[in-house]
Amino acid sequence: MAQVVQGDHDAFASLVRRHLDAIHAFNRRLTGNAEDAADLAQETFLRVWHRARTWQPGRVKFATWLHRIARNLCIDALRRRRETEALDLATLASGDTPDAAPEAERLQAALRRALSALPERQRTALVLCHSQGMSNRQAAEVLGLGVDALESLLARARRTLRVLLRDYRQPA
Amino acid sequence: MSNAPFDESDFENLLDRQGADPARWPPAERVRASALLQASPQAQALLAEAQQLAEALDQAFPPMPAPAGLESRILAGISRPSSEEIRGGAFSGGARGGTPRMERAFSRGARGDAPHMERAFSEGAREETPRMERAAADRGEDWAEWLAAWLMARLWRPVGIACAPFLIGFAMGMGFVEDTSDLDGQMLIAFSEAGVASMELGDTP
Repeated sequence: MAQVVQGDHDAFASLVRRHLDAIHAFNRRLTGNAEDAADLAQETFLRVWHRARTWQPGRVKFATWLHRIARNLCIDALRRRRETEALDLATLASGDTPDAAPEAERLQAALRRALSALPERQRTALVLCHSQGMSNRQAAEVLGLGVDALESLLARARRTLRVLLRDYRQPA
Repeated sequence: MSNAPFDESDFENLLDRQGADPARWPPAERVRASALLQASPQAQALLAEAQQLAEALDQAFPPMPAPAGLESRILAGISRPSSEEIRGGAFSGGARGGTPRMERAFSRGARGDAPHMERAFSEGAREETPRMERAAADRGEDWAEWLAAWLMARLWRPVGIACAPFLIGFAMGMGFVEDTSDLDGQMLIAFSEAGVASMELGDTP
């Protein structure tokens, strides 16, 4: 990263190669949109390049800083999408998976709908800890929270999804 | 290690906060949870449910490698000097935030997809201002450099226009120096005439 601060293109290319898949997946999981995820990954790395000297190595890990940038861009993108497209949550909630689809597929669709309906901070906490492989402490740093507050978000998200799963497996 | 009782409710709370993977549990709680799991079928059921949720999340979040070409798109983005760099602008980081969307708009435009292009441009325009503000805020340590650049960019025209009449007036004033010598001559004559008049009246000059 010190070389990136000096404007070293090769060091930046190596950094992009190391983190691109993780950041793209993170964006995809937060926005639920493949095209947005790619654009936002590009914006994230461009921002890293142009703001490299604002990163403070002693204060925060590079991966944490990178995820913070990506998350802020995702929040902006989700806000714009809400403003421009008025995301129809009712349509999402009603489900578009036919009853004839295999059970596992319907469960996945229900889970994806439930995930997209979670509050943004709960969803981000879950994605960071579950699929980005971060510790609770590191995820808390990305969200700018204490560990207790992060764990509270995780607990609420998991309870919501657990109830959904329980209801799904034991229909009335 | 705490000696407080650790029951199924505590275990459920541990699963919700730390997940179903024992490797993520704090060591002290891992020991107590392990003891509870050996004794409590309810705790075993809770763990099984948490593991099912984790598996479902794994399937909902499958590995998603970045699309081919994205890496080279990013690297191409930093190889090209931006308009801000060319101007030596202070907003380089923030203003460039809209680049990928604009590039996408151009590529769509090239395919003849005009409505998408208009939408992409309008989105890009909406997002520019907050990004520029954020960029300026992030560069708190560079405020003096930023201010100097901003003053140079914004003030040279009005200052130049304000100075122009002064310079023209100064130049014109320098051109009329010879006329003032005539004035001096007229003043001498006037003073001498005044002296003669006062002598005639008996005043001491």
